[in-house]
Amino acid sequence: MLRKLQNASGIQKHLFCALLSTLCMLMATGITSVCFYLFRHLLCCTMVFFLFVILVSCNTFDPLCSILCAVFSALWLELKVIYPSLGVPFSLQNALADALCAASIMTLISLFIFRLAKKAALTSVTEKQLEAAEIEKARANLLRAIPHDLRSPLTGIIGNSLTYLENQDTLTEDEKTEIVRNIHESSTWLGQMVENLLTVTRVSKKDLTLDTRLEYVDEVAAEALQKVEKAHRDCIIRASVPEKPVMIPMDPVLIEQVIINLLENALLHSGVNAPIDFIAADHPGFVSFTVRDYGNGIPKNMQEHLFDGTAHAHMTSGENKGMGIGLMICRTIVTAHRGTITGRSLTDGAEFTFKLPKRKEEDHEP
Amino acid sequence: MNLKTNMLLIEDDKNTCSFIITALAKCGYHVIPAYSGEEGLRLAASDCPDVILLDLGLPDVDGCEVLKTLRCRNRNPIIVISARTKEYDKVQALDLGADDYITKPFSLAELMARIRACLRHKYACSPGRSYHALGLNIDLESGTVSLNGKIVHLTHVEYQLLSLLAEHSGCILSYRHIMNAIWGPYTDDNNQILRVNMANLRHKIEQNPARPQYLFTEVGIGYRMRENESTDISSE
Repeated sequence: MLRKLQNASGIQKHLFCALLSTLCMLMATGITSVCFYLFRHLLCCTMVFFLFVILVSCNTFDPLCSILCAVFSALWLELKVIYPSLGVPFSLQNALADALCAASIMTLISLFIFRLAKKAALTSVTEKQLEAAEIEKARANLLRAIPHDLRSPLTGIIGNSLTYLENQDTLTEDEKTEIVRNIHESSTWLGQMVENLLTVTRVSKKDLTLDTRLEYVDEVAAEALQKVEKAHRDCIIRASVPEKPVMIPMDPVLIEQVIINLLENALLHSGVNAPIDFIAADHPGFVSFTVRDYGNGIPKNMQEHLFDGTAHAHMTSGENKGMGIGLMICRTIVTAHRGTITGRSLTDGAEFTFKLPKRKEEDHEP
Repeated sequence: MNLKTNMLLIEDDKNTCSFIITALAKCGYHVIPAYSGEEGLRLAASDCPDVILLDLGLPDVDGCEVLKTLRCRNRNPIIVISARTKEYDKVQALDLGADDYITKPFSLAELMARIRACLRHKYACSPGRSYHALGLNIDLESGTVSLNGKIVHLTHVEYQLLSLLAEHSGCILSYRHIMNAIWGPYTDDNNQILRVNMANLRHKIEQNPARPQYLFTEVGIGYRMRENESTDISSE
């Protein structure tokens, strides 16, 4: 009912409200009259009447309509029902006084309820604004982190290729291979960054529309793993997914991006040849995805700022390039799916877990 | 292919063209470049290439229009080159008649695999062959499937799916293509039954569904099976 009213245009809205109020008030008047004839108890009938006023005010959002209707109904009841039944001779002064009293009380109730409803609507608008502000903040952080994260691989590519071109005759075969390998690594990393940026432009829209559909966990995980293994030929990733096929609502391109980011982080920041575990597990109500590496763990000064995109400001060494953007994007995507993401440092490495709910609208408990 | 296979590459980026031409020439393919859709259509008509590589992002005309025109002329394999995130474009290209697609940036190995699969499919013998890859053996005549020596029990639909993918091994089959082939052309867009059957098939055949060795899913597009290593069909 509320949403229908909010969606309708101004005039339609007022007409609808007026009609609804009138109908309700007629019904209220009718029921009150019947009550009065049956019970002859003024107070109880008055209570019934006020109850109707409250119900109408809650549902119509238009105080003017409800007040007017209430006033007319009160007058009618006064003149036609109560006075004749009580057998008291009609006195205009008394009638008007009573009607005025009733009308004032009803006005107050209507306004009060209307105010409550308006406050509730305002709160939800504020919440949406807060959400939008959060996204804008994430975007601003991202834009600040980009130049830093893109310049490094670009410098590598430009530098290495120039070195090769200028020194072709004097470089050894091994040195040439090393240079080309560096160029390949940097450009692959750059490619990943571009994917991340494209992902962010999709998620940062105002209404957070994702291309969500039911997808199999093992299909999405398999594709993500394939992409990572193509880029890092000699990595060792031990993967496991639930025994039975599990489908959850998700945007597969974005969730793949999250898995790729977490795996890439693990590969780059843990240690060269340590294996990495990827575990997708089925739980009641949600599916968890965990990336566990057996490397150096997360530096203490970064642990509080893993997902807010300011990681690069807290880095002490230059090794952790790109960790900031990747994780921030992971959080943006996972939050948009109404999931949660956490990261912790362990004695022998680091572990990142994100959880996605099985149902679209559900807000799950981690 | 030992004979020089003629290929037409319709791609507007000169750097990509030179990399592909150089790499394919090393493998014995003769590649003619075309830098626009119009030039591509002209060369396709005059040179009749065996395989066409078509970039969807052409400057002068929509890649899909070129695809439609090429498809009208003959049934030679067309492999479409696309940018990574355009899932819908890939599905559309496959439905318009492309045999396969490859996403930028791609490696030479991937491209070669696609070309091989398309050519094998083009020159393949009639059905009645067997499929063999790693530990999976399918006898398409008797309908038996064995994995690492043990017989695998599949439902009727699962077997139909597996044999369809095996016959087109190495090539991508879109959801729509598979739905039409198995459930007929009058099914609606809901491919849930296909997804469920494929998930069950995957869990029966793959030791680790997260690391498929035989049945590869291209999320949002379709399925691809590992290339047939059986020696009873003509290949390189």
